[in-house]
Amino acid sequence: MNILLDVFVELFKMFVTDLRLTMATLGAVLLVALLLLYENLPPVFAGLLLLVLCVAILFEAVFRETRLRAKKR
Amino acid sequence: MPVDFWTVIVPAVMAAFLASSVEVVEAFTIVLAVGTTRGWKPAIFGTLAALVVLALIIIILGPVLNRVPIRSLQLVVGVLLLLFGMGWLRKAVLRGAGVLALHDETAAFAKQAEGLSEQSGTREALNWIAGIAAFKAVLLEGLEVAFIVIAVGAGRGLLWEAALGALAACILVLGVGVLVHKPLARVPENTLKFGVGVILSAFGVFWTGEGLGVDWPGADLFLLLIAAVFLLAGLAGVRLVRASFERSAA
Repeated sequence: MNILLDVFVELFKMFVTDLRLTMATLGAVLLVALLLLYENLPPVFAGLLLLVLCVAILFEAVFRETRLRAKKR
Repeated sequence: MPVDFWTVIVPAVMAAFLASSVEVVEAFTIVLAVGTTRGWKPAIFGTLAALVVLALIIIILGPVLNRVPIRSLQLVVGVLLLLFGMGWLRKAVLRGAGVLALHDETAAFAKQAEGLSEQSGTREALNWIAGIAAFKAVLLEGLEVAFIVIAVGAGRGLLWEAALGALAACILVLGVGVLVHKPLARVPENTLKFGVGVILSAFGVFWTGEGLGVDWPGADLFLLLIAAVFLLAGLAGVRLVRASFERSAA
């Protein structure tokens, strides 16, 4: 049972190393999907928007962690 | 040579090879600690048992994936790759900037060996504990390898190519490991993680986009552009984060 639990924890951690990064990324995908579906955003712009959002999310995540670690020092 | 050789096949095989190298090095450290502390019998038994479980998972999952429509598969796999790749890239940027400590295989080996040495009980019980430690290490690291192979391979029917990349990494790491017979502490783990994070994040955006109906300009060539954007963002991130961290320390 312990091994099975460890496997599930490891699988969870593979995709959720930082909960806010995970939620923001899922939110970005959802936003782009909704814009494609309801606002008729040209698909290429939708793809580029997803790329820009992902880079922004990455920057937010690393700077947030940096601020947190700097405060703890 | 097919058009997508350099744009899709090479990045997929490279991602599988590099990511597997990182995971196999970590698993090897634990198996080595088990082998040198409690003997090679439980270490090999635990490793083989985990490989059998991993093979079963892949044998069961493979045919299921073939039945999923390609668009849905690309969307699901793309989102999972995005989450996984950006997680690795985030950690690699933070480690590269000195915010997080680098992973130390020698320390991991010492910790595992110390933990096993402190156990008490009959010889049989100790062998079981050691075997289970090797089993868990190989299974958990192997699951990540299996996911990466399936994820980078499934979107374009490149499962075999990606699996070969992973297998090459296993053979290389184990070969070097057997020769040096100590933790592979000199493998540039963070650089590999950074590179894999870039490639997996790029595949993630590319396939999520395709899954949502985006026709990328230049088709597969656009994958290289996305990877270049993540690479530049990651490198800029390391510099900016390091400067910010040093400023806050001053």
